Amino acid sequence: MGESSNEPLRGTIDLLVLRTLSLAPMHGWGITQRIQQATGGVLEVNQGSLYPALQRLEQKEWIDSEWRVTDNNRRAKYYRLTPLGRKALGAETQSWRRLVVAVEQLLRTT
Amino acid sequence: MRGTKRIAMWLRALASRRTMESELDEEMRFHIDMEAAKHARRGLSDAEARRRASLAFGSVEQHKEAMREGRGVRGIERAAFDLRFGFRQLHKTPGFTLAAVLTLALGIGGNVAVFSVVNGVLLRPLAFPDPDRLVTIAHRTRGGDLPLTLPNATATDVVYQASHSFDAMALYSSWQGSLTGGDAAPDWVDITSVTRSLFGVLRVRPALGRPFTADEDHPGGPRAVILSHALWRQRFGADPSIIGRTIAVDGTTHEIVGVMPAGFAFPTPAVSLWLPMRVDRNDLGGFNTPGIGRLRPGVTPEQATRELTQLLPGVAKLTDFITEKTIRDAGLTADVHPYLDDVVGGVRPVLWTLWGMVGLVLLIACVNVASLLLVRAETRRREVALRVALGAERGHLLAQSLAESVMLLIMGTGLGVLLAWGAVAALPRLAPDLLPRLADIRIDAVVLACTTLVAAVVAVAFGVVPIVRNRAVAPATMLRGGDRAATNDRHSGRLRQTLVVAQVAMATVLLVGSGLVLRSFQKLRHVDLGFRPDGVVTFRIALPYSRYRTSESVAQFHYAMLDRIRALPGVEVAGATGVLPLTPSFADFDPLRMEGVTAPPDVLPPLAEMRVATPGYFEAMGIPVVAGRPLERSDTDRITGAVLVTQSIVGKVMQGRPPIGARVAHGVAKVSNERPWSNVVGVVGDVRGVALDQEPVGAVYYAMVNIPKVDMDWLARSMVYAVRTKSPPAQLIASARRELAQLDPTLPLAEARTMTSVVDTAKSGMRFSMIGFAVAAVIGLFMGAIGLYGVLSYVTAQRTREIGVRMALGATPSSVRSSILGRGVMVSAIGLTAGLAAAMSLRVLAKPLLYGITPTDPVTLAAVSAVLLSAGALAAWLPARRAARLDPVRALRWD
Repeated sequence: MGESSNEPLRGTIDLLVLRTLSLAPMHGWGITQRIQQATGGVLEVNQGSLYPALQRLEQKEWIDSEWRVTDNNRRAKYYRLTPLGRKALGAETQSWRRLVVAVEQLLRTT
Repeated sequence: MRGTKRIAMWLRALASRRTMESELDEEMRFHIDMEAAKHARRGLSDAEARRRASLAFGSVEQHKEAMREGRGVRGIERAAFDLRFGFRQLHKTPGFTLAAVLTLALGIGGNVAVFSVVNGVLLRPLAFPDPDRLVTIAHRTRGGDLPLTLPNATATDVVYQASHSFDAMALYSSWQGSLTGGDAAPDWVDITSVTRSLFGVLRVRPALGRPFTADEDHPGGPRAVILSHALWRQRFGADPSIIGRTIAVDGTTHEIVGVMPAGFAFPTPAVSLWLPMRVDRNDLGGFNTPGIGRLRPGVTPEQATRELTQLLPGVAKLTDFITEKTIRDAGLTADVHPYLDDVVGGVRPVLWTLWGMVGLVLLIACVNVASLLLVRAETRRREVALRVALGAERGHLLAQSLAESVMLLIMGTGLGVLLAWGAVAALPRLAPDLLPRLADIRIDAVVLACTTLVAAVVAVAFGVVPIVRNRAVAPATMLRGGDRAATNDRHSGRLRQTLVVAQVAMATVLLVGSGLVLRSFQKLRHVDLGFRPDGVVTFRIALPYSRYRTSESVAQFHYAMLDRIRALPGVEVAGATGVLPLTPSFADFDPLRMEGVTAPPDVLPPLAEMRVATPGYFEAMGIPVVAGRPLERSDTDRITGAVLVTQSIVGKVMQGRPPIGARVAHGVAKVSNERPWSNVVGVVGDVRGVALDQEPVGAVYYAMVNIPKVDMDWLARSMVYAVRTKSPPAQLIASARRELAQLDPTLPLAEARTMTSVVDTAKSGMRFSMIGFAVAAVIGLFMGAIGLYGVLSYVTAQRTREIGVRMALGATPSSVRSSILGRGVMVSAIGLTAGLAAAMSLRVLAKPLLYGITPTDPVTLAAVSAVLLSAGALAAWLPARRAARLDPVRALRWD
């Protein structure tokens, strides 16, 4: 699987995952679907980056996980935001906004 | 992220690896299933939906790998995998594995065992505070031929007090005596008398009670005794109110003033009683009182030696017979050296050399395993080449080959430590008298740390070889050319042969060493003892002063006892003496003068042992009477002053005058303990008195009552009986006990043993080194032979095709055989030459261990050469025979 133009920017995947999980606990596949839906199909998260990101966030204790049964009776691993993760989401959102404003400014002046 | 949490997670990841793998699996599967279900909802067929989902997901393994890396335990997992892989590889070739593990176990086990002995005996500090400052105070003469090495009690007590090198100095003197009192039966125990300063020197106080007072350490003062902890427990039931009670030591009542702490051992662990020495400053004692001192901090033994040597002339002021000139002429100097040296004694060179030998065995073992691994690595080069071609990382391949070595090493070390543990545990039973400080020998943290170090060195030594060899693998050449192209290269053959030569050389050194010790032992076995030990049973009976006050009553008792012994069935002849030959004891040397021979005033007369003997002693021991007559009972009944001298005395003291009728006296003229003249009535043979490897000093034998002065009276109080008998020793001892109980039920019968066992004990030091060296040499030779065999077999197998061609072209089986045999013998000969050269350069080390031969003993060298070349020929014989039996047709097809 090569690079896709629909791939989110490098480094933003953590923010996307945290934001998605801030709404409700969800399993990995659900997260990809949710991001796709919410961005109108503009962003598609590659599995190869999603699962390592989930692992990374879990190690940082921003999220934790548990095995639950889905609506159609299958076991799935659900990820959930921790209080620490909620704080981190705020900080990450702030810094993303600053970045967007900065880039926007740059684009305007040039 | 907090560090502890991270470590906890990491550990959990490591511990629950299997669960995490399966969860990872399930999560991925769920993802794909959901994706497929989504496609299916859009109307795709199940198969197509699944295909698309899988395609979109990409390589599951790759994702999993990324996740595993993320867990941070990848390195350990890989190492575990490599170890498992190594284990499987070893499991597939049990013969190789067994050979390698056993080789390593023997090499490492030998080192651990010997090092635990070295550590316990030579390296571990003595159990006294600041033991490094404890020194022995002795003396040395230039010639060294006089055993006059110990300080005179008065000299040390008086003259050396001016020294500034010591915190404290003490004297001590040991003997064995009887202990009576309390409810228990009489005991025969080790006794040491000490000056009261000893407790300050050693910095140890009694656990119970107090040390001796100044009064008690003074002639004529109150009699006091201190008990050992063991005696207190065994004989007095650890009675806490023991202080103030009395016991009889050698028949004299003493008050118990103290009990030493458990584990206190001075000068040996066997001592049960300590008495105050009560040095008489007005009377010069013998020359046999050992001194011990505690150096001031920062003072070296050499400085103390210099200072005492400067003070030594002060001795001349105390006596008439020692002048400053005597001291100068004799080259008499003080000799202060670490006390540990005396405790360890002659075993030090043996242990160091033995350690060197097991070190060589370990080296041989390493070389052996290295060449085994080398052969293995080469047969595996094709496999390695294939794996490299398929993309295996070289680093990983190296790690795997190292993992295999590590597995071997772990197994070898484990087995080796077990072997060593068994050997060390068996040591007290196998060799109770061979080693000092037996209680200090154990496998402890220091030994294990040293083992780990040795194992690490071993790992580097043999683990690196195959790695270096494998680095040269070029996959393309390897795969094209096959085994033959790769293994016949000259370089690897030379490396293997160098290894074998080194092995043979090291085995040669081991063989020479043990051969020399073996020959020394043989010489020692055939040394002329001066007596015939076989068939002689001995035991000691000591008479307390309290009930046998006069010399006459002492003599009467011993004669009565001897008469009873002689009447026992099977007894041929019986007699008694004060000290048996070869039993380490307080050696009673004193200068011996002859009437009419006036020594120059400044020259000390030659020394002679003072001995007591009864009629029958010389016959019982098989000591020949070479002139005159033996002692008779009448010599004791009437005081005639009759004595016997030994042959060496005739030479040394009498200077060719006729011995019979001459008059001799022990002691030096014009000294307070000078003895009156005695008449020589006979000459007997010399015996090895002190040690097997020491020439006899010469002795004067006194008859019991004829002892010329009271201070020698104690010589006859404690007599060793020598009984030549046909009955079994145990039976004779039992009968003797019965007879003794009838004569005097309060006396112990001590030191019951055969004369043969006395001689065996004297040989034990030499036997220890002989056994140790022989074991090391046999293992070394065996390993060397296996190594040679392995290499020749391998080379022969590699040359199968070539040999086939030769045979097809007309070479006879015998020419093939002799060519391979010749190669084996040549390799052995090169190794032998190198080994002999190495052994010669090490010959200085062997000197202290040898007796009666030089380190270049031609018999030993010839025998070693013969053994080694035969072993080499034997090792070459099997592969040679295999080659000679090759069928040329099959050999040519062989690949």
